[in-house]
Amino acid sequence: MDAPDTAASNPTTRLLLTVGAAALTAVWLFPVIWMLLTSFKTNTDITSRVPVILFHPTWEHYRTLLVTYHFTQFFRTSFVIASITTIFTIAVGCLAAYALGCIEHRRSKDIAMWILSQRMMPPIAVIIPFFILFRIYNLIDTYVGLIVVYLVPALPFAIWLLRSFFRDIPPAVREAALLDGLRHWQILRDIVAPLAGPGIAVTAIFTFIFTWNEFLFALFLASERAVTVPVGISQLILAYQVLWGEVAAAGALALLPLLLVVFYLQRHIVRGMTLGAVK
Amino acid sequence: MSVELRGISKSYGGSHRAVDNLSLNIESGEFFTILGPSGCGKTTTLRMIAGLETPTEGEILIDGRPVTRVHPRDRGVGLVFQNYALYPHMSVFDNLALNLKVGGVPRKEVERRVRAIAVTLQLDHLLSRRPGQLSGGERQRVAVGRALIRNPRVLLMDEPLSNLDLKLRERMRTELKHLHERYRHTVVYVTHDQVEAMTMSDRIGVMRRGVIQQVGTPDEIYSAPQTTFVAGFMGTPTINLLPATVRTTSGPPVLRFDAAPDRPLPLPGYAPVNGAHDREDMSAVLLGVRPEDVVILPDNAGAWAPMQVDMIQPAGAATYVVLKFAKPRLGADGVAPDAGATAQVIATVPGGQKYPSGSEVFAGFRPGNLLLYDAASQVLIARA
Repeated sequence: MDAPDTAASNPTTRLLLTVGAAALTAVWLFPVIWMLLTSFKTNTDITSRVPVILFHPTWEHYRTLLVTYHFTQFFRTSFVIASITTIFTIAVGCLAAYALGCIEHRRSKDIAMWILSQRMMPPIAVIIPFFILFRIYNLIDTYVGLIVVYLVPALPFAIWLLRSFFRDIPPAVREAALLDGLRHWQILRDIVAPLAGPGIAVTAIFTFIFTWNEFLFALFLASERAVTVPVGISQLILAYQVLWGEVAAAGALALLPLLLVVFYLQRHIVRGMTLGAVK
Repeated sequence: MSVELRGISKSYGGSHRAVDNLSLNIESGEFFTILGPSGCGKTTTLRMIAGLETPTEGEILIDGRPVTRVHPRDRGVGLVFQNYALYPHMSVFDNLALNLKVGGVPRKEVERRVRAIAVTLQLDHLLSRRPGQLSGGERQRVAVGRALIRNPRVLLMDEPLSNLDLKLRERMRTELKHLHERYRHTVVYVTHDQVEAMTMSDRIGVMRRGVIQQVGTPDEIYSAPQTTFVAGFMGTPTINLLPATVRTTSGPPVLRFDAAPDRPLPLPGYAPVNGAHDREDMSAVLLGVRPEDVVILPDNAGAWAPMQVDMIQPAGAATYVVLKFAKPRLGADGVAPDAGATAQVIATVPGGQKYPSGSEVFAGFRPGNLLLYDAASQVLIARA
């Protein structure tokens, strides 16, 4: 902020803003807190007609989840798929973003727009084609299959984001490197990527979060060997019973890694989300 | 090494040309300055020599070799960017060394050359710092060092001093000139600052709207500006340009000012230039006279006209006196003088002289340095 905001410095306004922010936060946090509480309740307390606030916490649901329902396996699957997707997205995304953002080309803007348009496609529209293709190539219920599917929406998003981060670097710095004799791949590796480091980190986190949370593709294209956490949770809804305690426990565990990452990198993430909002 | 531009043009689509059919010969070892206002195409020209832009038309030769389609790194040029464009994540040492490292120079040799250039530019105590920890002047020197360390055939500089404060700019001007005298690189220097151009260059090319208006030594550019634009761009205060008509055919040449038609000025030293010998009589001209060639005399003897002091602007060593014609008079033909005519003349006198506002003085012009421009084409037609 370069100029002090007169409205926010007024004490009454400040109080109202604080109350408003607290209320919003409460609304957003309520389901999360309720999920956490539920994961520690006994089944009797969970299904009680009157919501139980004070209860004896139990680790029972976590134990059932990890021992009986193989959730350690699901977590490993999710982690491997999300990590490989992220690494691949960042590697390919950086190359594409450099080519589209840092090299003068008549058509680079059109190509960038076309790539972004891929992101606008509703996933449900391509599930059946993917299913048919994957049956032909034996990719159903495989890690490779899911990774390929996740790259489709992850790449355009990453390319677009990285391109704006790369373009924030003054062009003269790249030109100086060009005159210093660096090849384009060296400029990307030694100049652009280090300078866009925070931006690359943010893009990686977004990609990871997206892949980690993805449900629709995983539900249709994986059944036994490549079951991810979100699909695993859906399997806790049985024909005659919903294992609410286990669902809540799995949700809490799935949230944990994202929570840690966002907490440590929130400053960069806010910048990543507001990118392009100004200027 | 020499640089030759053969009819280069640059347009970014559309009909407007940032650089329009420009030809230049820059000699080996010369300090050549392209001078012009912002947006005149001077930076574009420099970037085309560096290879960062490709000319739409024309050819660029470095040392007689066509390089128009040669990659920037293979042209043997060093470029100092206006905003320095240092690598912010690298130390000063690495900023200087990058070119040598990429070129496969052995480590020890890199070390030696970086130290040598650092000593020359007084950067030796800063080698482990990052650009963000340096002052403006230090960053500037790193930028120059980075361009120099490769022993460029041509050193290109794009307004390298414009981001520095006045004091530092003056010092860097001397340093850059020393550097050039020491290494004798061919330098192409771009600036909008006429003082930089005058003090540093062997030759200057004044540019306007993508066209070079005049090429010459600083002296030539200053004393014989070929167009009113060049005349107006060089010198402080700005040259006086007074609308007038000139009569040359019948009798000795005489100048008649639009603002004071009753005060003809005889031009005994009238000498046409640029093939303007057989001009029509009474043609409209602009008289260009530098403020230091306007003299203020104690009495009417030898003076041209009585004038009134409008105001004085003391500037230390010199004082600028703004003069206007004493009274608006009717023209010889009974018509009032053109209201739009410049009725104001600025004179430079030694500092300390005082003239009260409104006082009457007698003004004259120092003969020999008067310039006559055609009013329509704004081109120099005669000197007097």
